[in-house]
Amino acid sequence: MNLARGVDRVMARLPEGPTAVKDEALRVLAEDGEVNRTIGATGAQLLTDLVDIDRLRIYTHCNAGALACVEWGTALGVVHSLSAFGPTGLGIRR
Amino acid sequence: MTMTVWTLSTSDGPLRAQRVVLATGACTKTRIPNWSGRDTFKPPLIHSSQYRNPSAYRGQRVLVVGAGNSAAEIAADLAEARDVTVEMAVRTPPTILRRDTHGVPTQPVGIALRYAPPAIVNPLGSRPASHRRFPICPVYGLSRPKAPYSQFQRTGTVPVLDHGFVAAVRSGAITIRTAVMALDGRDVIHADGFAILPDAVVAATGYTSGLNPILGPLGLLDDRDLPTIGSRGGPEAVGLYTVGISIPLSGLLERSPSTSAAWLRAIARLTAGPTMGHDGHALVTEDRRYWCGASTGWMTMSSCSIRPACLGRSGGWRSRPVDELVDAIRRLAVRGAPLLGAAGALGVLLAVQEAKQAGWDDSTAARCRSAAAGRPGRRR
Repeated sequence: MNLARGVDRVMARLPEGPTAVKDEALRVLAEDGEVNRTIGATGAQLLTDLVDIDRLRIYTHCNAGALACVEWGTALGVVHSLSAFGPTGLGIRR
Repeated sequence: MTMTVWTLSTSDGPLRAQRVVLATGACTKTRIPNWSGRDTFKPPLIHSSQYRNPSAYRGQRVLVVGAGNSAAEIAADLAEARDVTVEMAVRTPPTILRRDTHGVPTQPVGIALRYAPPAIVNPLGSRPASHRRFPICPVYGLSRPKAPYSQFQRTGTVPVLDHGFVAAVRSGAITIRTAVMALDGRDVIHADGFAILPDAVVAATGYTSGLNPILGPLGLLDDRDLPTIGSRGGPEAVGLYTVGISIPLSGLLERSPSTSAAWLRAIARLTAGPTMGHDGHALVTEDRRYWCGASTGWMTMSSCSIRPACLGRSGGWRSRPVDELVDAIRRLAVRGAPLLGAAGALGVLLAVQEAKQAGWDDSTAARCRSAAAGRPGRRR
């Protein structure tokens, strides 16, 4: 799904030449990073609003970190952003 | 189908990594030339790194070999002891600069001149004005280098910053001799046929990177044993980088911190888990996000587009980048919905870059589609 969407989006710029293709491809990458960081910041803010940071325990499965994204991560991206607030208990199940 | 993967033999056993950063330094091993007759030589012969002070050489005749900063400083240090007879064997006359000019230190000038063309920099070291200040050549056996900066670029010999060396040569406390050709029993035989009988020899003959066993077989070392690839890598060895293994005119400490910091940031971005291993020889990052990483992933990919990772050592194309990407997707080396989206976007870009090299035709669009479908495109 995402694969086809990424291809289509850049393919649409083909008629405009290689530079447009390169710009669009890099924009796809940059947007993914931005979206991830926004997810991370929003999620981290929400969690710290809801729960005392010291009592926060996070349980996650499946790799939703930077490995699955261009950078930062989605679900683990929240944890990534949370690390700015302090150490958090984290369990990962593969 | 191959992706470039490096296998490192380490003291902890083999390690596989798609990117390898060597940061082991340019001056790791001491270097003493293998002079003929060295095994017959009786007097103590030490490397400059073992030299401490003149006390061991009171009343002796000492030959310092070399013309770099170490040689000049050790010779001057020995000459200051008064009761040491100091000679210096010089193969390539050094560029000698004042340590400072009217209080302005020379080192930052070297930093500033890093990117200047030789035509501008060359005259600075051999300008008549500075030559008048240091009239030690050729009267004292040191001929003036004609193009100091080009000499630096060619030989890696950095200029000598004067700490009293020039004064010692002018006062006759240091005698300049020609290069060492051979050793024989107690004799040191010089290039001009002159032989002397020193009580000790200090070889200020520099260092090597010690990388010959690692990079030598790959053909990635120049004739000074320094890597031909730097921190930006190169098409000849995709995924291999070196940081700080060079001899910049501005000095190692000036440039390395920024490059290494950039690399550490890149590695931190790339490694989502504890996939960083290191031993005494190499910093290794195992990065599975080969195609779709952030900035460094892009760097690797752009070098692929010039000469792809799949270019075998024996030469020739083993596969094409789009096919490799498709293969990586099928092998699940590229996983995760967001990453797949980025992979698709970059796949189109790869196809376009292929087309630019091979000539644009109808198959370009088909190959883009093949990236979308996650299956290798038809080859021409």
